[in-house]
Amino acid sequence: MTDVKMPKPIRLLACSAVSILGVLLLGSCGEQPFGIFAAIEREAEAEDSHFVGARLRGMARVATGNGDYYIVASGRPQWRAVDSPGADNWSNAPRPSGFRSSGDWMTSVVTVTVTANGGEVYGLFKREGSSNRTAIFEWDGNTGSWDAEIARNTDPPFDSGWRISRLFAVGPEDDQILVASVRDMDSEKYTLIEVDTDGGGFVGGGVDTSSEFPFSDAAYDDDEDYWFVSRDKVYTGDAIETLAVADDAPEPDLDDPPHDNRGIFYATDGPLYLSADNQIYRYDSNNGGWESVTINNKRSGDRFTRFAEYEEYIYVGSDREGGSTNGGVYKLDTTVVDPVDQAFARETGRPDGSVIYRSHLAEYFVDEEAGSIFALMYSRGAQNEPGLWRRDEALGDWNAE
Amino acid sequence: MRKRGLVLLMVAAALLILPAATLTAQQGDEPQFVPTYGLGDQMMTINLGLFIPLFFASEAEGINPTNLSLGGTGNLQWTTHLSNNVAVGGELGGMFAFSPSRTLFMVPITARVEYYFRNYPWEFPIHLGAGMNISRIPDEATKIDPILKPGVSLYYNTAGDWAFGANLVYWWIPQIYFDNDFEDPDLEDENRFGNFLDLSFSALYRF
Repeated sequence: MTDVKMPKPIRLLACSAVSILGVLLLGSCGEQPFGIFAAIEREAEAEDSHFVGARLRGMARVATGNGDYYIVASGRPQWRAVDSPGADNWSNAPRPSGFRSSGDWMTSVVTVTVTANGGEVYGLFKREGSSNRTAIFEWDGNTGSWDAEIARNTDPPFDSGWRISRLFAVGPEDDQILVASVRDMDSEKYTLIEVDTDGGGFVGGGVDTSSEFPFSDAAYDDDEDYWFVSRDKVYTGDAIETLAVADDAPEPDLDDPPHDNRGIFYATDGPLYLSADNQIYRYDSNNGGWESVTINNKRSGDRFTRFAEYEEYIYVGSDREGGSTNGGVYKLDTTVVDPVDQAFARETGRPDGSVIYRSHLAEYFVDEEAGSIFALMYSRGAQNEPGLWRRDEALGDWNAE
Repeated sequence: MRKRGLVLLMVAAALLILPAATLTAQQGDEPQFVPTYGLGDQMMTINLGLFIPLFFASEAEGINPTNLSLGGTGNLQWTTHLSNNVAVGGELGGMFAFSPSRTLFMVPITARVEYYFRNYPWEFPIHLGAGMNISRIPDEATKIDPILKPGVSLYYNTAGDWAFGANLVYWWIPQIYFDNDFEDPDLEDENRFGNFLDLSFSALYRF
């Protein structure tokens, strides 16, 4: 019997074909975030947010005429009329008199609700080159200005070695209080203290939390306890001055990359939710313990940020550890009553149809009166497109602002 | 920008073909030597040209525009003759094109078979490439798919070992995903059949 050999080029091609088939099989094993051709086919010209590249630190609706949205963007206040949506309608907003448009910064804005229907807006401004470097102002809806200074960093019990770093509105819905996070510039640790919004200055001596990390969120539950969260700790107490570390609260792994946007949130009918890196926890006050909440469609590397309640959903944001592309929005349907069945699920907003998918979510602002939810995004790399995004209906698209 | 790119390519093509035309004019009425090729005769070819996105087809969405700009493409080919009319070989290429907010890169690696029709010094090979194609959107996704590349070419042989010409090649890329291909199991209907055209100019060397 004679061996019939294939010509050399044919053998070469046969070997190549087998190799190619092998590579094709191997190449189809990895998980994809989306179909490449399909994503490009669906891609539309991306809208640009007015705030691309800006660090967004708080948003409020202020009383002026029909109302204005006021936002802190990289230290500069911007605003637009509530009834003029869109990225083109934002412009420079008023500052307290004497505060310059460069060199002086705004670092926080919150709404303290004092009735069921509304509240007062407070802003935190930082002034360079002055001993009174940080001061809290109240928005005057009649004059459309920040003329009323409420407190400053040198008010007792502090002195010029302290800086007010952030404001929180927390408490029962119709009787919230204003709380300031104040930083000792020597020890670099934070004190939480109530601001006296009626008489000015601060209430009492506050509580030295010894926290080395800034506070990112606050909540108030039905047991009339306050909750504050920093990168590594959760604090709770029935008054600001009695806040103490909640020892049993889940703690994130500090070996992971820094993440200063942890959220804590008490839903309208409970429970209390806490984000701790790549998990969300629910606090069961009856059992006195924390239990993790089921998360569907979670991608590895997603870490959870701040919460918001809007229509029948509780939203939570995420960023993506080490990733340059995707953060995202997860939500829980509150109409599901049984806690066992309650789960957060990642919105399957596709990356091409919604630029919001490609950014990281720092916090939300909900305007119940206008029926809008705003997502304040931030960047983790050149591929991201952070900015401000608005959704007017629970199932509507996110629009650039 | 696209017009200017097209003009530049046409100038490049003219520069490639002009030497061949000059040589033809010099040959006059002298008897022509018509070469034949056999097993072991090899060719290296370099191609550069335009990448023209045609359409994406899918069961879910039908026929849709690709959303891609006119792009660029290039490749290197090695082929060897099995007979005077049949050659086989391989090809490594690449392309780029832009979507509104992304850049698509593809790298096809194919085996190739050619059949030559001749009217010397002109040659008209038809060819088919088959292999794998690596699609990539930087920082977002990479996928390896099969690819078929049927095409036709037109070469003009100079008196030496060189030939110059042009190619028209269709790229057909079935990009098929299975349920477990996605991080997000809710993603559906991501399958697309990519249809593209490659219009390129060639310089071919025989050895």
